[in-house]
Amino acid sequence: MAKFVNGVKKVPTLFLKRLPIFLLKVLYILPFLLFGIWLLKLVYFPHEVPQVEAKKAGETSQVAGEDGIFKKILLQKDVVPREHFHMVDEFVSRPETVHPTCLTCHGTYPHSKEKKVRSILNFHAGFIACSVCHAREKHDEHLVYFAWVDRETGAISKQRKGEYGKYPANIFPIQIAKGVRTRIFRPVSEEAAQQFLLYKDKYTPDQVAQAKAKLHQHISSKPVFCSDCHKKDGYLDFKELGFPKQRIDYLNSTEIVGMIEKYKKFYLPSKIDFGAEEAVE
Amino acid sequence: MRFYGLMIVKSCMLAAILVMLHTGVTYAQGDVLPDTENCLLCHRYPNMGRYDKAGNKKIYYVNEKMFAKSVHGKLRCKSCHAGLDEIPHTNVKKVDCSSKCHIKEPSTGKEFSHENMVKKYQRSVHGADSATNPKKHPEDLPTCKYCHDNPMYRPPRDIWGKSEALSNETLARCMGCHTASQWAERFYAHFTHRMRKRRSQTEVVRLCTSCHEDQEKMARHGLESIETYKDTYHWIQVEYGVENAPDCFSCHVPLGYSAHDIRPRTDRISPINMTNRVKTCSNLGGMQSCHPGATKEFATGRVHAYGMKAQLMAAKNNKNFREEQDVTLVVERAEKDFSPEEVFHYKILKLLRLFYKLLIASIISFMLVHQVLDYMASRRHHKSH
Amino acid sequence: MTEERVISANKPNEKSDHKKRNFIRLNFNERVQHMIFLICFIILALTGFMIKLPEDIVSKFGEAKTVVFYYRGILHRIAGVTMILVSLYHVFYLLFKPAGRRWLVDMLPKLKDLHDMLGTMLYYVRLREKPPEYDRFYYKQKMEYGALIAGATLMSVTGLLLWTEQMWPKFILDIAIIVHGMEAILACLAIMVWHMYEVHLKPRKFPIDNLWITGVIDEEEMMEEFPLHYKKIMADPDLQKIFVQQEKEEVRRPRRIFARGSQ
Repeated sequence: MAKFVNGVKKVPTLFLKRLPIFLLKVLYILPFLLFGIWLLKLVYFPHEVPQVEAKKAGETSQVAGEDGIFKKILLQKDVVPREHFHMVDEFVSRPETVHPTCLTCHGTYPHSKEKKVRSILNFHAGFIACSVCHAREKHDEHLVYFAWVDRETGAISKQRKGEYGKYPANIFPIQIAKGVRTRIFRPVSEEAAQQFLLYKDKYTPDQVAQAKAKLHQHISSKPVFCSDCHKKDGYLDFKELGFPKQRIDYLNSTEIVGMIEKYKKFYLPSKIDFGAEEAVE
Repeated sequence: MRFYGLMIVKSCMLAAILVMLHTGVTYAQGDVLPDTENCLLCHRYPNMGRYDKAGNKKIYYVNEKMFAKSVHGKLRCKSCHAGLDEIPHTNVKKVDCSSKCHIKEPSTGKEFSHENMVKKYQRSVHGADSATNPKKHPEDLPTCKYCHDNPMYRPPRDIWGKSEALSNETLARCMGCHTASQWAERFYAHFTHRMRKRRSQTEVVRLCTSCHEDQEKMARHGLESIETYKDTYHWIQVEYGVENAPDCFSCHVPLGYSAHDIRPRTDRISPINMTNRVKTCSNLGGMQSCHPGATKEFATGRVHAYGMKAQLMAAKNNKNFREEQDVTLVVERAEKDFSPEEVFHYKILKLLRLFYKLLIASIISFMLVHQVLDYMASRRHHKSH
Repeated sequence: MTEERVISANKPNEKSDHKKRNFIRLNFNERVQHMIFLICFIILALTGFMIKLPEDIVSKFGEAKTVVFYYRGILHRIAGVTMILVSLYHVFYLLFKPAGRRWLVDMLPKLKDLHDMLGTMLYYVRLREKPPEYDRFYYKQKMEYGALIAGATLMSVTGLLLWTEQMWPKFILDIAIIVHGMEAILACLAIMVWHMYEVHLKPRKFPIDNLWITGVIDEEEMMEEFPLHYKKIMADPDLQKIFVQQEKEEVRRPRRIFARGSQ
């Protein structure tokens, strides 16, 4: 259509004249066109009516057995599993920007071996980074101290409000170089973990073991245990972390430690008030 | 959808409760648990939990405030979680809702228990594997917890003040004598809880579909998936939130019974039993007359759309039908459910739909071609002038 | 060739004093019928297809959806009843009014329509130079009118069946549901492809043909679109009284919003 006259592009005037009408027509037709397409969809593709034929009895159960559980795991996104009776709140599924690297592989509940304490240790993982207890050997080389780190911003925070593990911050080990707090001490780098996950499927069992050993080289074989903290002048300085005195007494009480260590069979301790009502402020 | 159905119901309730907690409702006070057993020592921490062998999340966290506001808020943990005196809690028994819980039921003075409901439920179509009601796959059947979480006393905000029974004036009349306000409010909450439907129609449909839309699961029990309901005007009404629109319970719970008494259609009291159909559709004696003048012909028709069973029955005349299909439970039940007349109806409807599909396709494509030609021709014509 | 000569003989000389004549295509009564039918149709389509909306769109209505649904039902019934009444009136009009009877006679399908259709097709594919000469109603309009009668009847009957559902067996209702739904889709698609093209999108008609309001077309258009009818009118003074607009005052077709194509 376009012609070049004296080097200037010349568009036929007829086309220009008709352009607005053409556009208007398109605008005019469009809603009707969409409506029409929708109507056609209603006739020819109403919705997914179950067209599946009844399967043979054997087939059904086999399929469920083969990929059922793994398919389910993929689909399950609910925070609270179905059939959870007690109403829980949003703290169960709090999204965290700054979280320990370990949780990438080990999940929300990393402790599973020791029946006696796994659930108790898991609730500690809700407000203490894994590296606090699991990377103790490293602390001798680097100067490290413990501080609350905001879950969202990653900044070291002093202001903590919340009750019983519902703090907006986690306790992390912090490296100190030349008297200046530098960064969160991470015994396993996030990158390394991601790389491992990438190659994992190609590894032989031996290679997996090798990779795991490499990945966990800074992890202590003997982690900090209950009684290391829950005692006077223990591993964690509760005072520096900002706990009020009443709460510190409570955390260091023999009641807490004894519950785990001493009793094989025991009757749950009846209520002892160590000022538990007052959470960390 | 099937995985999130219940989750949505639960999270809706959770949201309502959170709102309630934050706005400080004066209703059903008392959010501090006595916790005489000191369970909250550990169980108040949100991350309390573990993965079980199947990889499922076990959440052992209990929210103190929510529990205190729930209907079970006055019970001690051990009332339901029997055993429980060791760490780890290896000797704890599975919670049994039919056990007695040391609370006196005031009308009889006996210890309270949900046993009645559990017994009724066992007799119902959903009841798992009792001697009188054997089931092939009892693991599929919903337990108490499938439909119930620990219900909260919700303030009847939506209906508060709309009837005499639910008003500040009525509550004030109670409080005249029952001066312990916390007790009175709780008691009032207890019975106003039963004066309305606990779940909206949409929630009911979501709850039921969370199982009933699972084709594999339903096939194990000789049922078809519940997509067929979504083809009805009943569902459209529910979808649009029409008041008293018919949800699953409206037609499947016998009149004068609760949702625990849903029976198979062959049962004498089942509202979808052919003998009860007219009564069900006209809902005489119920809250609302749906189809007041329902005739027998109208009421005995198929309410849900024709689904997989109809397809199977229509294909039945195929010689290889038996060998192809094997005899599954679905076919067996379809043979019982479908009269030859209904299969004929299904075929007619299918043909009718096919007829229209062809008709629309041919007419519209003819028109389109015609108009495009016309457009081109008239452009040509006007240009030549 | 002779036919063409006749037309050109009748063609008004632009330069002469001869006044432009307007030809009545729809009289006032018919225009009112069309208008009511049109409004009802739109309301029925909107309120009817609302129940087919997908779930996620419905949920966007929020709290208002219950109210929307309530008025949807009422409006659909009001529009439906109005449409049935207009249709019944139209039957009365066809049988008992002279204009109606003439309409009926002109609308009846004839053998000529088949010839016309064939001729038009040939013209479309350039096997013929000129389109056939159409009488008062040509085959497209007749087909559309027939479809309208059939559709309106089916829709009315099935609509009434569904309205009085508790009296009928479910099987009948199932059929009614399918017919009502499919017929509605067919009607909407046909209106959009067939009718809306004719009066809106066709070259020189965009954005809208004013016929539905004024009821008249001018001589030039009359000659071009309905040459046979034009000739019949010009040859018969009785017909002229009916179809040629009496010029009480200068009635002009409202100006088009857009200039006609390229002339």
